[in-house]
Amino acid sequence: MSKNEKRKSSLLLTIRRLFGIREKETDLLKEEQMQSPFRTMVRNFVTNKVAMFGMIVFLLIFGTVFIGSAIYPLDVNQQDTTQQNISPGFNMLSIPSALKDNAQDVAVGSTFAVGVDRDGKLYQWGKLTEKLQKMPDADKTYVQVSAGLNHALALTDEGKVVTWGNDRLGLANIPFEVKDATDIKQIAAGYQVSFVVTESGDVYYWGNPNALTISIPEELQGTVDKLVLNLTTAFVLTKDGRVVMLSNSATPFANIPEEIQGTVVDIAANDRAVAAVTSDGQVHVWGTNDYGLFEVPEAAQGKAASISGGRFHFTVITQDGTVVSWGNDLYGQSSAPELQNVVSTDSGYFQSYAIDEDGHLTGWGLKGYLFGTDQYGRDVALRMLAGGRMTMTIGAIAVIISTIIGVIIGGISGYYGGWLDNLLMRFTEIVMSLPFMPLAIVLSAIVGNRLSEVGRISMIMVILGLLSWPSLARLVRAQILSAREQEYVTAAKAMGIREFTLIFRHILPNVITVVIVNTTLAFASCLLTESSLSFLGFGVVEPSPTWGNMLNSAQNSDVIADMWWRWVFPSIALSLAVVSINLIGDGMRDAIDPKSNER
Amino acid sequence: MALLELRDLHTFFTTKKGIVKAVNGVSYSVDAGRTLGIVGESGSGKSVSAMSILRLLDGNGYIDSGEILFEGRDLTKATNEEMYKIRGNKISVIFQEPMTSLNPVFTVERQLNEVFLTHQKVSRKEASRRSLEMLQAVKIPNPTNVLKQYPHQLSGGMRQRVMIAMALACQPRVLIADEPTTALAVTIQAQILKLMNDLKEQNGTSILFITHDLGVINEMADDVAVMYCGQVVEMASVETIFGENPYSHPYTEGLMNSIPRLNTPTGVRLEAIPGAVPHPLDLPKGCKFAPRCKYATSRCLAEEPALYEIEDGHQIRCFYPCKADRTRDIEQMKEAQHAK
Repeated sequence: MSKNEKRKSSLLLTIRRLFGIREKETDLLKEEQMQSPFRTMVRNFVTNKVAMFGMIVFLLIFGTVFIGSAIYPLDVNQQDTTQQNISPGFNMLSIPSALKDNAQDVAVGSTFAVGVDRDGKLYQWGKLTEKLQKMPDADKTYVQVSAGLNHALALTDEGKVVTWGNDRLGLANIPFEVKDATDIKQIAAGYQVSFVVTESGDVYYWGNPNALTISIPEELQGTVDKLVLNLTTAFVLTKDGRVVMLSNSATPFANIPEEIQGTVVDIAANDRAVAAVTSDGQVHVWGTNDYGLFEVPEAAQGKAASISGGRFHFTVITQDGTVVSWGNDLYGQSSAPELQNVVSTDSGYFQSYAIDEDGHLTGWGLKGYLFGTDQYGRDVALRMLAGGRMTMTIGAIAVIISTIIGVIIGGISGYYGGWLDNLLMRFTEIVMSLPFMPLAIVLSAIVGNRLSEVGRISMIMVILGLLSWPSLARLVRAQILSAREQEYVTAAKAMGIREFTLIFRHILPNVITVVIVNTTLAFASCLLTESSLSFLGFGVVEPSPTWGNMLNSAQNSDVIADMWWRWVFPSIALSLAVVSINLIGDGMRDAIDPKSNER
Repeated sequence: MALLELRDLHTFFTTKKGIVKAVNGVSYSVDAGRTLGIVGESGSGKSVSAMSILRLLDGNGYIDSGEILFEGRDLTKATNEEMYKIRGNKISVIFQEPMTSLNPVFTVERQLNEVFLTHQKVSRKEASRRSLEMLQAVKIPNPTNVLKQYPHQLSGGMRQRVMIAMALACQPRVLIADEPTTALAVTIQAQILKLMNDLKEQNGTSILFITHDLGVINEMADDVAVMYCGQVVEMASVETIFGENPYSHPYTEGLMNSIPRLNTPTGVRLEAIPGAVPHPLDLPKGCKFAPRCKYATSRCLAEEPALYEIEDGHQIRCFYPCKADRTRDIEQMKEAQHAK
């Protein structure tokens, strides 16, 4: 057999053994050769179905958490007030089939969308609140819709405005002027406010007066052609092609370029910037240059016909009817599909929709959240990935610290014995008798507040490591006490092996199996301890996620009752991890000492 | 000059009940290329005296006084660093229990290699080559396979061969064999003893052979030291001890009488030494053997005899070393008692 073949076959054999595939044993001597204690252990472990199950579950969790958090990095400071407490699911882009090929108008709300078909029938889809589900009269014919954070507006063919969804903060109180008006041109629902623009160029609004800073100059009334909103303010396009901000505050939004005034044909606003399309097809953007919002794609520049804005992105319809999006592409909302003959678009929040000549409705962007979102609108799934990595890293480092201390102290204590042993063991008992939780909480409270986030996390690792070594030290000591009486220790000594080598290279390998099992189980308990600390708010604190502090909000009964996704998923992950690690640990113990199973 | 010489060695153990004088003034010497057999009952201090040489005593043991001269140097004054260089290199040990003397988690190769790597500046590859040579030297069948095996895969005899290979790896000047064959079957015993004798002749190693088996001593030793209660009670050449000799210690005599010989008549009970070894914390005042000695007199009980040379190369610790004399004395005594 050539060298290569030999290596190949031994590799094959190892793989087979790893998965417990038995084969005919042809050579007795050969079989004998394979039975190193370690291999025997591995084989025992691999044939233990429960332990293997635990191993697979743990590896899955581990792999998902570490690979997942590398692929989908979490911006810990990212929050979104418009995406709070959304339940899990991916139906935000599920356009009803009746509307798909017959769309007249569409509007994007924070987590839902409203559409009206060419027959004037209303549709809505996505994550709907209870109030939103109460849709207005179906026997009326609607022509225009608009959606806000959690309310929607619709315009009937008789020129009447109806509103549904959130009815608080005055949103349900449509002003008399609007109720009586018959020439309504545009309706716009925003963040807790609703706007109406009439054919005569007047603007009316109602809702929460504190949500936006709005001041409408008297001279503007009668000249307004179009109104756009973002979360902070509103802008109007006048009939003579000028852009006016409906606020006096000196925000970057106020830097409206002078040269475009008078030539603007369409405007759009998102929460970082405002864009205007001029008559020559140029797009001008001002405000804050986040997410590359100022870098208008070449496909749109000079060819733009109309524009709409989402939360952090813009969508343009070009003169030849295609669609171009740019800006934040976290959920694919700036990755516009290739469409033709598009007549209107609506971008809002994290989605965009486009309707073409034939009434085909296409949507792109955020579909939903796998595990929902929390009270700050953060993706629970993403936080679980990053949180899991944090929890496991903290657990692993804490266990490494405690194992190193435990092995060294236990090893020295067990090997040398005498007064040193006495001293170290009394010290161990003192550490052991410290009440863990109160001490950890006090330490974390006193030291933790002065530290940076990274410092705090390291401190948690060190606290966990420094307080959890005693049981391992005692275990190692006991093992070494019995191992050092073995003849082979004296024999090794007689061979001139130095003491340090003797303890750590001769005796320790004989007790390492016990250490490994203990370490595995300690890892599980470290995960739990870290989570408890973080749950109580003394471990890793927000915004850095861990599985423990994600459960923090479960202290609130509302969350437990209504927002199950915020605590069920992290707790499932945590318990699965802990149980699987325990299964692995038990399996390893059985593999090392098969007799323990018979007891 | 002797290669290894113990002079008036006292090795004590502190226990909770007091100081145990395990070795209480022992002197013996091993000459280059010769074998010194040390016999004695359990607890007579044979092993402790040998372990004192390498300072392999348990935590509570210490050398109280005396000298251990090796190559003219006093090992009791050697530093730990010097001891590391002597152990396994110049003086090595074979233990009684081959079953447990090898580390169960390492292969034979790793354990053998370690000796070379510790004491000789050789590469790992070279160490492996030498390990193989050593296994061949101790006549292990299929040595290349055995190198890769773990101790639990070997039989007792094989393990003892491995131990011998480890002990002789660095060609030590002195080999301390602490009851190396006690735990082995008789046939294996004979093989191992032959092997040790062969290797000794090849390498010129001196052996300090500790056993309680007089047959083995007869086979192996050039000189014999008989120990009792931490003292050497008789020291002579093996011919003197086992041959017809007018002088001997009553303890040696008892030992000799307690083993069957080819010329022992059938139907005769073997003579046993009555009583037991005294407790190490409660040693008799006079001669340590006196309470069990059938020749003991009031002088023996009161006064401790010294070790003195009765003839050239023959030392005895007894007031009545002449066999004929003391047999006569005891018969006279018995008659006197009868007369009373």
